[in-house]
Amino acid sequence: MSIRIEKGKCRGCGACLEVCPGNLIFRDGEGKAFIPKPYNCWACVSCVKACPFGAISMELEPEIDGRGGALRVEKTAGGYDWKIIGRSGEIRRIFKMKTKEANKY
Amino acid sequence: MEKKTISCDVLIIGGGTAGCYAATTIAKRPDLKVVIAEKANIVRSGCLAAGVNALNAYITPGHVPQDYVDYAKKDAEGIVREDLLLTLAGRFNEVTHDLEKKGLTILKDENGNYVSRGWRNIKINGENIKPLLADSVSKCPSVEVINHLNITDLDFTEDASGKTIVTGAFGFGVRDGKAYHIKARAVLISTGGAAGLYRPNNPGNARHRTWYPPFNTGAGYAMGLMAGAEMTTFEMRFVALRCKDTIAPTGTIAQGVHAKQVNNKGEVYETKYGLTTSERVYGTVEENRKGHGPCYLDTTKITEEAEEDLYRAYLNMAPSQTLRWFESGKGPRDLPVEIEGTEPYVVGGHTASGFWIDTARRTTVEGLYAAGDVAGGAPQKYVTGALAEGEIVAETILRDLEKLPPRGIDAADRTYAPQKEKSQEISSPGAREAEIFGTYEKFLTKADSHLTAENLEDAMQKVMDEYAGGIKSDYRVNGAKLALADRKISDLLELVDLLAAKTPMDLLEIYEVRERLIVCRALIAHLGARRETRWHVFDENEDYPGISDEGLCYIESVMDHDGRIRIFRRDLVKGGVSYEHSN
Repeated sequence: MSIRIEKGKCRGCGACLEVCPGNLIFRDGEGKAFIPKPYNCWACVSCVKACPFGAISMELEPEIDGRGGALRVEKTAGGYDWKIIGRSGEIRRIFKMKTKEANKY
Repeated sequence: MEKKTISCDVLIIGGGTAGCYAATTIAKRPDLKVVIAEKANIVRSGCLAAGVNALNAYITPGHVPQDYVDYAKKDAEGIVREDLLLTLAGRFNEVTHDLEKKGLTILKDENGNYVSRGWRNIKINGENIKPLLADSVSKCPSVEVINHLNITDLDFTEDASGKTIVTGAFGFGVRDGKAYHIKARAVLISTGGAAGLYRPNNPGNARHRTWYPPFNTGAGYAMGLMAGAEMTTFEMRFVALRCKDTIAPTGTIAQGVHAKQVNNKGEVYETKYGLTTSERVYGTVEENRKGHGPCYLDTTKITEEAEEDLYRAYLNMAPSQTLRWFESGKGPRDLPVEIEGTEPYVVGGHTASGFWIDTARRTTVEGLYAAGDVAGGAPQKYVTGALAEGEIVAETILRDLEKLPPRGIDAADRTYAPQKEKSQEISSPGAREAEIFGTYEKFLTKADSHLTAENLEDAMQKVMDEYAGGIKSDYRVNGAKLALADRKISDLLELVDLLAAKTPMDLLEIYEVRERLIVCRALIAHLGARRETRWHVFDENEDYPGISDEGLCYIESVMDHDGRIRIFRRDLVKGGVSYEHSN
């Protein structure tokens, strides 16, 4: 599990398969990204950040209290918007993170 | 397989923190060609893929580098190399400032001073620390980065006296499936530490949710051992205390919002077992053994502002933890954060495990250098230590290269003293290349195997868990169990030959399990050799539960030609002494 690649949104640009530190992402017959062994994913979200089309999300497995929600990331001018998604696909929270800001704790 | 031969001055194996920084340092001499061989992509490879939110090796105002040496030495109960620590600590701040110039965001107060979180830690936004390093590498035209190239074996020759000299390395393209031979005048191993040796905390689908990257397989340790390099202190394993299930770091919660370790009755136990890093992990392990678990970091009294900040802090280093708080519907103010020990790792960034090196970062094999988590002797090196070590080793390589003939001259002709005889090859030139490439081809052309690399990996992790002090054994080892571990790991190593690869990715999995098995073999030997319990949990010996002065030494290992691990001891290097290899 860990990452989910939505074929509908994937344009086959290859950014995710280039950046994955585990070499886990490949192209399928249509040239779209897929992860043959999702259980080998480290959940570093490098691919989620790299995808220009928001086709990848990260989920928690039920083994570690995943309950159907997900995390999405969108690149912005100053950093990333992180979206916590609920089980029905609703956006529960958006964290606007700026590269030039360091958190206090 | 299509073959590719590349010649360069310096080959850097592993494009992580230490490797990238070494490359940019060497690039100050743009006439020297550097190749970084990285098995994934340097933009996010290694342990800092998701980012990091503090630098935990920094000399804050009012402190000096020696303070760091004293602290690390005390924490490791004396088994450190003070010369390595001091040379690193002397550069922590300088490499930090350099990283800031490259774009790293460091938290500052209203006066523009770094905000510290403890006497040796400063707060940063390190989400993009790897992209920043990769970017600085890309600005060096003399550095060629070959991503998706998995190096598997060193190339070496022997001089007339039988001394091994490293002359390059071999690998294969994980994507392009080519066989690479890289010839170099100096080889730096910066492949990081080893994870995935033991059965991890999480099962099945979540099995790679580990703290240290599951892609750091100890390749450098294995390569070094096979070339006859000396390793040190593998028995000082690292077991981290981490957030349960997500295995996210706990420093932000413990030091950041000052949450205390409590057991299931809410009793604070964090000082009951001692204050060293290993004692703090031991506390949690023992409280669980006594039936007082689960154990937690009590975050229930933090402010709303702190809670918000924790959500954000984790997004920049371990976003699963933030997601988990939302998935459960309970934030840190609602529920304390459960903590658990990870599986044991071999990682020189946190403990003293790794290559035995001199003060200049040369290994015991000529032409071979080590830096970062793969190098030993300097516990609590962390990020700035890896950067500093990358810089130190680069400066050494620049000096050493001055003494060598320029690129283009065969290693066989390489001499250090004009009157030395021409080197004699142990076998004909190209024999080693034929052997290594032949092994790749053998795996790739074999018909199906009923065994997979994954099978062997699961078997190895079970053996280590049960017989070499994994989570299942409460991290405890004894002679009887270690003997069984040794036998079983040897058996598994033999089974590697039965594997088959249909793709280069399959081949990568074969080599990764081979590397880990070799590291396990050395680790088991080290664990059996230290007949005391100097560091709880890291090396908890049921046969020798006490600490003894006999243990005031380094435990060293070298692999013989038959693959056996030979253990010996070295006297501690005194403070103030810069250790040099003797010939």
